[in-house]
Amino acid sequence: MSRRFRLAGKKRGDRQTGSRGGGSLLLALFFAAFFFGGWALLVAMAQEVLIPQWRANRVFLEAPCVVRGARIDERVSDGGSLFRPEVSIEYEVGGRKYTARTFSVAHFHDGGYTAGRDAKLEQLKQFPVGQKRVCWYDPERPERAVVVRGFTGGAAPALLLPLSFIVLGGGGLGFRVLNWATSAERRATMAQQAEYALQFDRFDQPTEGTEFPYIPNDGPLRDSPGTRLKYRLAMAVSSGWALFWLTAGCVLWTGMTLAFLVAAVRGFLQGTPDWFLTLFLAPLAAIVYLLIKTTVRQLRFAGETGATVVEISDHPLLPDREYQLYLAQSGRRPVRSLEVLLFCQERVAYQQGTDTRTDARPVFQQSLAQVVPARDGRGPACEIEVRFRMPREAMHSFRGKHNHVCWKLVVRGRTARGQSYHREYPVVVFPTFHETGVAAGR
Amino acid sequence: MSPRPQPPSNPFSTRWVRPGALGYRFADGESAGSLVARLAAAGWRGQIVGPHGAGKSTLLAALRPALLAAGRGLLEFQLHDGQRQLPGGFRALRKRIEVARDASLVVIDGHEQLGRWERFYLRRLCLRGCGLLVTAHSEAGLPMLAEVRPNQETVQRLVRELLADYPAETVSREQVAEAYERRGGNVREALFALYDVYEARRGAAREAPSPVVA
Amino acid sequence: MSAMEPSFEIRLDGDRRAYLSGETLAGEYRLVGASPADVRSVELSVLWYTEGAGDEELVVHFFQRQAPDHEGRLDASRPCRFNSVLPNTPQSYEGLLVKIHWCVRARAFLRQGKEVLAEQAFLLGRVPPAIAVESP
Repeated sequence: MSRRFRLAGKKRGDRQTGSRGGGSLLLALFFAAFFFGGWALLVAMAQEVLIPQWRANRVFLEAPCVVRGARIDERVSDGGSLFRPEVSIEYEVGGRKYTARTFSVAHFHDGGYTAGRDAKLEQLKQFPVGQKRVCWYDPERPERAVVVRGFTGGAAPALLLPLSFIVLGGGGLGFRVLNWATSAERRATMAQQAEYALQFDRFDQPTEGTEFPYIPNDGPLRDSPGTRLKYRLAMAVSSGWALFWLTAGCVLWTGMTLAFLVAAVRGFLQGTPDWFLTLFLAPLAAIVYLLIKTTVRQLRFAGETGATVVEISDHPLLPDREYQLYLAQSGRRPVRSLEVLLFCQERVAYQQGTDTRTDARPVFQQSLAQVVPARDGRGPACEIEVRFRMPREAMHSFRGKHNHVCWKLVVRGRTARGQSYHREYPVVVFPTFHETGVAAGR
Repeated sequence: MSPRPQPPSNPFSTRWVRPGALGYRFADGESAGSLVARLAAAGWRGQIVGPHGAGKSTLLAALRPALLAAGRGLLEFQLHDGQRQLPGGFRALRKRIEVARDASLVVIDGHEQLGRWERFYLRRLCLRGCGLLVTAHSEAGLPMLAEVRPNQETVQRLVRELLADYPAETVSREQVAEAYERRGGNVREALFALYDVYEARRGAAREAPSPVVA
Repeated sequence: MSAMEPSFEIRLDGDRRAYLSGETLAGEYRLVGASPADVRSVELSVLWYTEGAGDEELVVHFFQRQAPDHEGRLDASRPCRFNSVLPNTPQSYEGLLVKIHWCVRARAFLRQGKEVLAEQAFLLGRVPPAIAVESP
């Protein structure tokens, strides 16, 4: 963001010029405006609309009344005339007679004016003069009464606007405040640590005190049977939740924007356009467009590619042993290309001073199968069955506190639309049996 | 065990370059003793300021023996990323200060990790006779003890010392200069870059044609 | 009185330097050049440690300690035997970022705070050195 505001920061190649602090401040102010503006809007809506309506529905007391008159109250504004229905009633509370010109709680704040005179006339037809009916009065102020109550249709969706401002503004502001005094290196290393921890979420703590100490525990993996081969491998990182939240956010924001769009269009159709609302819709609509575009692309990708099932004939793996691998790539469309690799990587973490530095380096890579699948009939978009042999002198998996040797099967694919994807399936390699000699039998 | 790296060990491994293993290079006319004297003159309150990887923790390690020799009981904390509070909390620290009385010195490596409130409270806590020495990336509101700003010549000297028992062609001055420049003057990252240079060289030597050994 | 600096002699049986998992590592060690009255204790460890670009880790697999007799004397100049069955893992490894080294380490604590240290490295397993490859 600071790069878009040239006055606050400007990037040339690998160097950043300009004021990083100024950029952070502008960003914080931007989010603060959304946050506090959202709260102000929420408070105003609560005071003007929600609380009065709630009181009318829950607190007001019923009393019989007589309709003495009914009319349309008109107010002329810059955008044209606005109307509201008004009914004169007589009622009695505690032996005292009251008269009131009212309709709904909006009358109390001199509100309730909207476009559309005919709709108001229709409403007034239900209140013929002389009719005896029921009204509801405020027990704290009996001179206030209404003849209709309930929540207006637009109240709930209208809440989405201040709520989304509060969430977006609060989240962004909180993030800026928390990271105010931190450096880019600290934020980068925090991100590195998160990624580093995520990679090893799949396995338990190192198996100290066992027959093969400092090799990851593959118990969870052996608890997952396959349908074609003995075990089904689990993917390292699942993207399902990210897609869920993206979709939910898109739906929420789109619904809110549509509610405002309907209100704006109605104004135009009735000859009383609300230009402020129309202008306000422009940035909201731009965000909706981006959200929908991103969400559709991700959903299409998830639907087209589908799950990648990887099964293996045995686990853990041993050097110089042969294994069978089965891969099924589902999806509505066949993928353009698919490759399976056997991959080994060293990963380390180093804490010096106040920083944590992580690094990773590949030390083995072998392509097991590379196919351009052709789909015929039903079934997975692509299936691969391949036999492979572990390298004879492969280093076993190792998991110390700060140093790791990790093996995995990597699936690389390209969708029909040319989108590439990359999925990893951790495996555990033990030392070769003949080298473990007598100790293995103990 | 030799205190210096020996072939075939990678001289830029963490065991040889971590604070304490790699000595701090004091500027001319300065020493651990002179800095400790300066700290004492400032009422045992001071800050060591410098960017990432400059050697602040290394300087702290170099000062430790002199601080102990000066009779200060050290209460040391090394804060890592995300550690916004002191381990054990302030209550435990206050108890330790009360036990150690006026002879204690609270040493915080990574002062900028603390939250604003924690920093404020720490300064107040250490006003009661106990000293406070911190390392930070920027001004921490304490008397300046040292500003650690390495330059390329410092790094060149460091590397020469690490490679004292290695063949001359192991790492050239040009490679050191390039590593230092590309890492934006971050000494630690420059040493890690030289770690990769050494590994690449060793890997190349391994792959060079040689008689097969049975 | 010898003016020689105290030092250790560590010898592995058969002068072996390479072992397989489950085999017995056996040998002897002695401290030369130190007066028995000066030696407070002698320790021998069979351990592995990591070296490289990550934080170092050290795990002791076998530990043996000699203490002075009732007169406060410890004659460590006589060869002292040790043997230990080596575990399956971790095996010695010469990686790019991670290296795993096995060794026999002897340490003597002398009077006046002096220490004597010596190591004899050995290989466990037959894993060849790692070679850099490109990321997938």
